[in-house]
Amino acid sequence: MRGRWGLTFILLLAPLVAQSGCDEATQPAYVQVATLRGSAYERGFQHGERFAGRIRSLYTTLLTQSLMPYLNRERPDVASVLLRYQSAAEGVPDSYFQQWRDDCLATCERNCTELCGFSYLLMRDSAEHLKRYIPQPYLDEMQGIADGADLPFEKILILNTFFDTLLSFRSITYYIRQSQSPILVGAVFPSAAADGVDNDGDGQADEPGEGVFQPFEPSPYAALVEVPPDAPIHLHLHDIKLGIGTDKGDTPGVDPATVRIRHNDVQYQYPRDAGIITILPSPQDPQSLEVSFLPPGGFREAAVEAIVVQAGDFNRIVNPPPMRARFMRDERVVFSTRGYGQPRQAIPNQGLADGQTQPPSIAFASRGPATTNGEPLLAHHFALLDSNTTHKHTVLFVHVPDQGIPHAVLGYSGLVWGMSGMNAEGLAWTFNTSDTLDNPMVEAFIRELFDARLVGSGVPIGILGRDLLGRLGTVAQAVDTLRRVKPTFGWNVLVADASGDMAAVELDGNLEERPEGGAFVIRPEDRDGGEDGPFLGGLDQNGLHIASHYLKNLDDLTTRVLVFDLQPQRYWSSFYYRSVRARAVLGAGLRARHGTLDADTAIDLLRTPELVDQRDSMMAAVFTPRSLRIRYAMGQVPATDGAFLDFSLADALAPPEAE
Amino acid sequence: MTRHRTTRLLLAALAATTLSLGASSAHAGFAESLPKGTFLLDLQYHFSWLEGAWDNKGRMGPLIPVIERYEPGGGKQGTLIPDASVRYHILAIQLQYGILDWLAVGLGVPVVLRTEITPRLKWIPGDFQPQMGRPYSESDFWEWAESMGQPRPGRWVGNRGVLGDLVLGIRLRWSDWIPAFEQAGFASALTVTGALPTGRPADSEEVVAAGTTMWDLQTQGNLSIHLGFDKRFRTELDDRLTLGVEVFYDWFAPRRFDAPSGERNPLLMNFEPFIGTSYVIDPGDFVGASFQADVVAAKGPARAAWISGFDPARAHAFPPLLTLSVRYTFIHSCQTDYRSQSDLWDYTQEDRWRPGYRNILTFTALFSFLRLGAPLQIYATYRTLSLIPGRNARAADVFTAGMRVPAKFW
Repeated sequence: MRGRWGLTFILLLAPLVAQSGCDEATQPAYVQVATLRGSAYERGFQHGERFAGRIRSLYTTLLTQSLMPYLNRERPDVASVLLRYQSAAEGVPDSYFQQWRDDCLATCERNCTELCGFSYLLMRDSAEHLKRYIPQPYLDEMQGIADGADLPFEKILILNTFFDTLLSFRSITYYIRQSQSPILVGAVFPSAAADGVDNDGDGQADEPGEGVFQPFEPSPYAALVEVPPDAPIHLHLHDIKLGIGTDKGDTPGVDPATVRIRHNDVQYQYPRDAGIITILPSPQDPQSLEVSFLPPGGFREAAVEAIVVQAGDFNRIVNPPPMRARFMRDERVVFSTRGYGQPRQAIPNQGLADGQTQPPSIAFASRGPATTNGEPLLAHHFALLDSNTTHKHTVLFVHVPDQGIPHAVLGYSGLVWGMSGMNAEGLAWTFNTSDTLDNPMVEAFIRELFDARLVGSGVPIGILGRDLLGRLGTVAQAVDTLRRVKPTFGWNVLVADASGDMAAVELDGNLEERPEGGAFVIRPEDRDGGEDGPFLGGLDQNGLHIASHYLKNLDDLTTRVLVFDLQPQRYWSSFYYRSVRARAVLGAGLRARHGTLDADTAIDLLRTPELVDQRDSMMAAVFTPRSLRIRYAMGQVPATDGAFLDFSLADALAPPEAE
Repeated sequence: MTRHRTTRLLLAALAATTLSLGASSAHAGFAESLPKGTFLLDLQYHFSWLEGAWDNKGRMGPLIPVIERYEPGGGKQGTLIPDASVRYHILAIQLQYGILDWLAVGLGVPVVLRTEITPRLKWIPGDFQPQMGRPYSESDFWEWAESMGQPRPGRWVGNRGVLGDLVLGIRLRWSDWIPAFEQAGFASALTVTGALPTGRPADSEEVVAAGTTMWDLQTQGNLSIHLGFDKRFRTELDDRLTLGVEVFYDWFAPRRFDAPSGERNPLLMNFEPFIGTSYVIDPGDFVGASFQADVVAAKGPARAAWISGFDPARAHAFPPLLTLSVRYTFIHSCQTDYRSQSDLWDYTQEDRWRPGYRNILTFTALFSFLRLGAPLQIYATYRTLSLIPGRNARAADVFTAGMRVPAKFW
């Protein structure tokens, strides 16, 4: 009897061990495909119900834990200009912001840090303002998402509009910051004045002012050519005090100890490299700093040389931390040295990939002889914001609406829109950001000055894309709509259709009411500078390639408001130089693949290391409008490190076969 | 950071100390049992220190996987290496009773006296930040984080006199029923223990904190089943050597925890909005085996005293004066499963608790004064997971000092 009990006990072990599931955890799919059918609300509900967890996750990890606290730090700087955002900390207890915050805290029970913070107010106000520009079906779809996911509509609205709000807001804060930083006001090549060579391509040699760039003009091409390599460059830096912001330092001027000059791939810094970098005396002007630079042994003969200049001022910003000087944007000057033999326009302001900056979003479209079989294609790599979370929430949405054209977009859980997409009629759409001060928030500032509210207006860009895909079948129709719509910010749109038509459209807020109406359209056949000039948007008439800077809309905004000189994109955008470089690399890649482009070679090109943002790459795709196929990569960072999945929109929309 | 493998305290207590006191049981082992009618009070103090963990490739690394930090849209700020130094002070009180010569029961009461966690955060700078003119230094990063409401985790001291999970156990030496075992010098016992959920989970809002549950201590499961065998060499080696082997299985009960809402750490511990108000951890079970050798270093004199009823023969049967033991334990730990409203969050947590194994060495010196007429045993144990590499396991080392007092009232 005892033996039986003992045996029973022992035998207990075996099933317990056998039942122990010991499988290793596997990563949940970061890429999902969802087909949504029905009315806008029904599709939204299906979306919300299926992705409720992911929607909450994206909202919390991207907005609550990353962007909102990050933007909260900008409030003191913003409030130094826009007074309604001052707080009790600045001695204004009855400001718009402070009163709202006090009311919020008085009733808030949970997540008050988020819900009663400056950035939530910013996002909410802007979302409410943007709502009036959003076509009703997309609001219905958002309501469906909110109901399906059991979340407040306000959060879904914020999730769908924060992107547009954020970019306008960022442009303002970045510009306020940059306007108080040192500026490269001039670059002088003294040796070019008497070398007997036409260095600036104007047909004259050694004319007065040759080799002098003052004011300094950021350019997509080389500043000068055939420069004597053994002479230094002089750089004129300037810093003024505007008396705004949170660093009201009393000492104007550029701090020599912050001067850094990168020559090709070598970094020099003053005073460590004194002698290579020489500070020239300028006793008459305490706001200026003259710097002379000549690398050891001089510049290379018959080569393209790039120098990148950065400097900070004497101020020390303490809020938001960490403490630092106000630094200017990296300014890149490219030139060729004696014997190189190429004109300015043939030398892109590319520089070397230095590892310190990442390439921005790019896109290209090709057709006809540029491709293997003549089939048009549209490729896109979007990069902006991952924060180690966005890539985990990607979804390829297929919308089969009750009314309108079925279409697919590459997006994220909780968003009604995507970064790119294609519809059943073969219209494919992509967009990139393109920094501009010609945007609705700046418009509000110009109109209301210190009392301006930070709210966006216009149709959010992704919803604009959905709207095109849901209604239109051709590039011509899309361009027509883009000309008439009010955008929320600066965008570079690239569209292509099954017929092979394609267009790039550069959008801005058109604050100066120029004849283009805020939509600068570039067609493949358009040339830069007349009939004999190079193609403006591509290599030839069979393609367009864009990045994140304007090619045609070069004077997006030039005006003065109070102490601020509002300038075109190229003078201040942190994207500008890296975008110029990325587009040059993309162009070279397209040239090398001319005639062999298909989805595989396009993917190969998208994976070019110099075109891949290692930190904030979000998604990449190749659309072939004629065959209605999408090759897409997302769900990892960089997106292009993963496999490009194959999706057939035609198959997805085909009626199910009868049993 | 909050989960610590200190030592398999309670299991060790029941398995190793049950019991070396029987008149016929001269040695520690896997199959010892208290004589009928005998009580044993065992008091242990454990000091555990933890400085690192074996990673997925079997390399010693920080306790928590490194955290890559990104500035929104601004590239990589740097790599945060959230290493920490952990100290546990634990008092374990055990009471065992021999119902029959082959059947004993026990109760274990672990009390955590104090837990200290000292973060040793390290930093590898990331991308050059043009707006600062430099990459983020460690102090830059924490200034940045604090400006977003996230304080830098500091030293944490807690669990002062906090009860752990109570343990109930039973040991059945079934080999007594088969005379051939005894004749061959073999003994075998089945030990089953169960833990009651009386421990306290870690403060969910703290970045750096530890609890006192079995899950926190990672010592044994809520249900633990051990099958042990001992081989004594009575005649061949003058009864100076006992070899033992055991196999065991530890099952951990799923347990629900409160989700942090970020009230103190808004950036690092704000999970409630997307994972729900609570989540369940289903810890990975343990399967393993131990091998042990007990060597009698000194039998010592045997004095007929009151505890032996002044019977010299009984006094001689008491445990030797000094026994040295060495044990090797291999534990395979299964995947720990998290269940919340977010599969993404679940995976990030599960990634820290992948299947792995531990190689544990334990050295014990046991002094028994029973032969000398004193009802007392004292012992010291050093147990290490840091000597032999493991995988996905925290490399805790433990020093234990204990004393046992047997008593028989009828």
